[in-house]
Amino acid sequence: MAGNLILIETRTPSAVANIDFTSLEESTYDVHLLTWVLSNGTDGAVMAMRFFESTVIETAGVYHHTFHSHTEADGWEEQVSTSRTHINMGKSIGSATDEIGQGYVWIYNAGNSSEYTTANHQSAAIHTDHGLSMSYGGGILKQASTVDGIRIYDTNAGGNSTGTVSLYGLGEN
Amino acid sequence: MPGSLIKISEATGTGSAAELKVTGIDSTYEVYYATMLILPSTDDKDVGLRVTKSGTAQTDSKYNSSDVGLREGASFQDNETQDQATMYLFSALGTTGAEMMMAQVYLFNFADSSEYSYITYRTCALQKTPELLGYTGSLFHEVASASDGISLALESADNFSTSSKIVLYGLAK
Repeated sequence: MAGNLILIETRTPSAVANIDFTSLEESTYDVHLLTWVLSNGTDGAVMAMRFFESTVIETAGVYHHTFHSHTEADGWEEQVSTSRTHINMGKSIGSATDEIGQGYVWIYNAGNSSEYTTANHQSAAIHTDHGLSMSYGGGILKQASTVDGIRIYDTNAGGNSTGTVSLYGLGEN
Repeated sequence: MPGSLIKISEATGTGSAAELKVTGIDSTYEVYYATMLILPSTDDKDVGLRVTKSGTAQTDSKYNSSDVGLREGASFQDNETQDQATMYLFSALGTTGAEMMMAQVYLFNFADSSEYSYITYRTCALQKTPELLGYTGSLFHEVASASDGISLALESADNFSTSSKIVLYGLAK
């Protein structure tokens, strides 16, 4: 059988702060795809991800990320950090009617205890100014460990997320 | 195990048609994905993208986008547009086989009648010069109604060569 994309889990949160995936099947899949479509009850939501290592969420400033974004209001922005507490997966999202965010993230090496877990993303959303908010970038959890969970959350406004988030594994056989 | 990347439809250039279109998007899937291989019949043609509603490409001035152009022969470009009648994925495509444009796009919220339609895209090609170019960006069509596909058209109504192809997939949820 050729390589294949396999749905692991879909979550449909309703006004929650954290969206946790705690079964990555990381021993089966080296590469994961996460897609997200989320609206937020609080203006200025910035969606981000953190990883669980052996079921314990990592919240320290051990993530590195590079991030490039554009909004009509703020123009182009570049972010580089070697001490991030999360990996951004989108720019700010408004909370008015028609303001919603979405995107995808590819995640690599989650199950490899001797390698860093890395991710890259791309997103499209409606900013608080009701213009387009786009971003892309990459991030690393720069410590070798087995990642067995992913948390999606709003790192700016505290979280009140509603929508659909799906996690897939990229099969190799 | 069945895969979760489901082929919906495809369209192939005929050498005599100025539109290349795939439809079939509905609420079955939350996120859709498409790959593109595009080669014009005449040198130096831009390729534009529109969403379709009930199978018809939307020509209203409701397209908004931001992207970054990575160039082999010049500085990188930051581009943003609002209220356009079409969204250009690439400029100055050539006509040799090696100058074919390749793209992957993710489609979000197309079936949601109360949300705008969003696309993230990545393209690359040797354009006519030839110069290697790649664009990473996002766009949305600012009309809150359901869309059912995407339509490509070349500058000056040039015809898509027989090497041109779009394949549309749904991601199981």
